Amino acid sequence: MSIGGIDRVLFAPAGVSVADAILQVCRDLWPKCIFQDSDGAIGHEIDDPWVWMHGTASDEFFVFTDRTAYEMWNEFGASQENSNSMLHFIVRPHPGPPYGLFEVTVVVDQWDESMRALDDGLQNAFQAIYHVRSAA
Amino acid sequence: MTDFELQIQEVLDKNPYWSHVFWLRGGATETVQGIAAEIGAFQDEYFRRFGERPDPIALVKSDYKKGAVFFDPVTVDASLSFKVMIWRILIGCHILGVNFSYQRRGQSSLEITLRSFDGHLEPYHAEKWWDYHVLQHISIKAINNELFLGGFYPAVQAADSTIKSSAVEE
Repeated sequence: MSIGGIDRVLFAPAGVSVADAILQVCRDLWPKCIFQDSDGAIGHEIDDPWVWMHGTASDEFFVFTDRTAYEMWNEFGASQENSNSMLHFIVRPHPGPPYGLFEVTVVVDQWDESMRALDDGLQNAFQAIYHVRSAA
Repeated sequence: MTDFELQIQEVLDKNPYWSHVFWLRGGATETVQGIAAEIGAFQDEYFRRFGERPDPIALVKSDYKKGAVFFDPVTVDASLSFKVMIWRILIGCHILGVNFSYQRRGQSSLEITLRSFDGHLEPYHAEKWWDYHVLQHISIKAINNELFLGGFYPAVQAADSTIKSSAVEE
């Protein structure tokens, strides 16, 4: 499954669960969002403990903004109506320099207010984790 | 050593900084056995509260970076109640509120309230000074200028970051 939209690349610190940080932000923005691993066939409610025990190990996954969006995507695929209702995340080690970072690619349909909020939230979250690590 | 202790040793070997903290605390002779005992007590307490027995080693195997944080010194030396809270955060419970009060030479307090998946509120109170260190590892972020606290992120030394660390030194 791919939405083939706009790629945005962000950087996150290595040595922490980047997927966990991404999903925390998604949940703050869309409390009823759905997680699906890129290799999985099932969408899990964000409040399903499975997501936090197993899904956070994933380095490529989709987040649907709610159950309706998930069902629409599964039934009809990409359409004008479900624009930006599915986000595609890919987490890979950054070859560097600088070293010690991960690249987080976020694929969205179009750049709008909700995507700016996501972008802002992710950058803040990654920065916060970096500071948490530095303090430790 | 038991299998459980060997697995703990494996995590510590990958995270030398943590081992240093345990050494600073008084030598590593009993470290692995001590951590195993702490984890065992946590599992008993969690079972008493929620009727299930969490398995940090299984989490290490399924999601190393999340599971290994359970062996971070902040977690290992936290009170039983705070260990339970940390596990609940790791499995996705929301941080709903934090009340922290510090008074030099006076009374200090820390209460962290979680919301479970079924909507129940779970208040946790710091029981000893070390519990306050938990605040170091909770992520603080803003989305649309609204403050959110969530997640528990001690730095874990994993294979991927080890490679990059050595590259930095070149």
